[in-house]
Amino acid sequence: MKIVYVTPHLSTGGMPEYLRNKIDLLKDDNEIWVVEKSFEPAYRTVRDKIESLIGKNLITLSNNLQNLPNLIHQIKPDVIHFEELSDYHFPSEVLDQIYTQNRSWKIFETLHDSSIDHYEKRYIPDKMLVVSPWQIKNFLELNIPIEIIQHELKPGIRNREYGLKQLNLDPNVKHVLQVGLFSVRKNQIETVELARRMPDVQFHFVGSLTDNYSSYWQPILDELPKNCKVWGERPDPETFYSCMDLVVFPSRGNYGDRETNPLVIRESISWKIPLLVRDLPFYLGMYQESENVKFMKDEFDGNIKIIRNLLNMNNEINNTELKLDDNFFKKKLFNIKFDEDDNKINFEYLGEQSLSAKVCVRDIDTQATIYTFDMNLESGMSYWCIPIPKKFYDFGSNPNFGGFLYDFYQNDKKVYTMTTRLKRTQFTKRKCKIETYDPIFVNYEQFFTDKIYDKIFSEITELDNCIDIGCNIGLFTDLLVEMGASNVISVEINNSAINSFTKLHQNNSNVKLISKAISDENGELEIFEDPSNSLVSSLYQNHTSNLVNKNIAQSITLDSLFDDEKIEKISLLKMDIEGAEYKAFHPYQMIILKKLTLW
Amino acid sequence: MVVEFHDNYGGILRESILDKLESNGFSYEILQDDCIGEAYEYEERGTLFVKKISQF
Repeated sequence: MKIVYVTPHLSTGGMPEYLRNKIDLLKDDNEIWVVEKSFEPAYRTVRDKIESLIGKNLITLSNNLQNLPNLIHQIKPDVIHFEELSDYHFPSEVLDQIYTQNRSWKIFETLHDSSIDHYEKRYIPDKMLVVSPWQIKNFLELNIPIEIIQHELKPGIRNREYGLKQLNLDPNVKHVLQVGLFSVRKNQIETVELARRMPDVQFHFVGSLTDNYSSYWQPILDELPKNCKVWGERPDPETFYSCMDLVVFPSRGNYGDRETNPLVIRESISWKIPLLVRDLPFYLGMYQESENVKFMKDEFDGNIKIIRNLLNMNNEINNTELKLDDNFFKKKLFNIKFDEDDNKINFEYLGEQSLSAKVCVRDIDTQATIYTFDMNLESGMSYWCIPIPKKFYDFGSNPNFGGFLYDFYQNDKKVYTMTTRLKRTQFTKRKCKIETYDPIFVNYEQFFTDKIYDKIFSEITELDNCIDIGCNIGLFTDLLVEMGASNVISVEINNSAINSFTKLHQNNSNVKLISKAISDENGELEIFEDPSNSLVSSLYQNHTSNLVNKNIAQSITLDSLFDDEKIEKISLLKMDIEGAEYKAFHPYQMIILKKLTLW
Repeated sequence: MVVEFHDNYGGILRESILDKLESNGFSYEILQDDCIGEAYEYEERGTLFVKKISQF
């Protein structure tokens, strides 16, 4: 059989290796051709291996895409297999000559991405050969045969001593490996920060450093801790798999840039190396039954503990620099400057020792949290942050904003505080009653400083039953109580928000929390959550960019909620449910609309 | 009612909420997120201030 594989490139990532593996398996019984759209000489490790398998049958199109149909007509293949979706890499005038009505070849397509849906596909192949269950789910509606073809793995034999000797590494130290292209998605920076906190462990990074991601990797390399080694692209990843004590895979997929079924995970599983992975919704739980896989938490210190447990090391980190004496937090640790032009806060670290802390930037007057981030510092380092872009909130010119409070936390305990007073506000602002990491500042200002809902409250003669749907940590509920509501039903599904809500309203006997999602039917729903911001949980994963956690919540219609709670009349209903509002209003019979009071 | 709307693509706000409010005796204002500036029903997000003006 003659098979032509068509691929956008053969440079970095899992796709070229996946293709090489297939060619290796098929080449003895078939005539294999590979047509690459472009060739990047700087990243050619896998390409060289493919060339050694098929020699002159590897052809580069460069900019001459029309050459593809010409080649097809010369080769007369039985199968044309696009290794990535054809629509994304070739124009219609080329594909129209390949997807002909009377073609003598079958067309297969694969993709190595989880961000594309079936409705984006214009040219329909004879069969889809995909690499993950998520893709099966996405492409079922094409109504063509679809099948998962996994990369065939041939694990070698683990030999720690021999492998470490080959790499000239110390066998008395524990070694942790991350494999993958240096990029935002692969998230090497998180591993580097973990390494910074564990100087008694050696971390290794294997993967290309390409020019298009230099703005990501160059700052990492500039501040690389001594216990990190960047190896770049390597032809011998099996040497690393043979001897490493742990593989980490902290990738965070975002909408439009997601993991699929990473080869590194499958290789680590087959080599039986302990593996620490961030579980992502688009894996659909496919690694949860693998014995050597553990899942990362979204809490930095928790991941340090997991890594040390997996390495059979105690949690006493052998680093005297990290043992901060009692007087450490009594000294001035930062010069902090606010740049009004860019809404930017600069933290210049004055300490001599390593310091890791969670930093909450708050409003100095209300203490409402504006922005929270993790800070990992060495002597001489600086950090900067823009808590809110200036176009959304101008700290410098807003007369109601007086300055910043910076609270530093370690293990959820406040250890250090500094402030920047910019100006006196026009009036004394109401203090926030809840200490949270969530960025509640904008809502807090709207409710209690700018009082944007006063217009509504002024029109309501009597605040009887009120409903707060999507109450989050309970700020609007707090406002309702303050305005004199006699009874408030609040609805929320995010567990982190519910914890804060409970603290804020534990003494309010006229407030009741219902932990359900409001939707168009009673049942269960998948909810997507942002681990660093409880305000944006949604039914829709693309609602915001970091909804990487998935949970199941009970759902209920508005009418059922009112029946369950025996509510006859409502003075005010507020709803903020991040895109689910259309489903909430969907049921044809909305008894709720009759129960709202005339104003 | 105060209803924040998001991801309003393809007229879903009109179809799912506004038509229902209009046919059930409600008036409404569509405002920007800041609840000050006026917004339009085809904007991607905003806030509805909804008032019941007649019983049905």
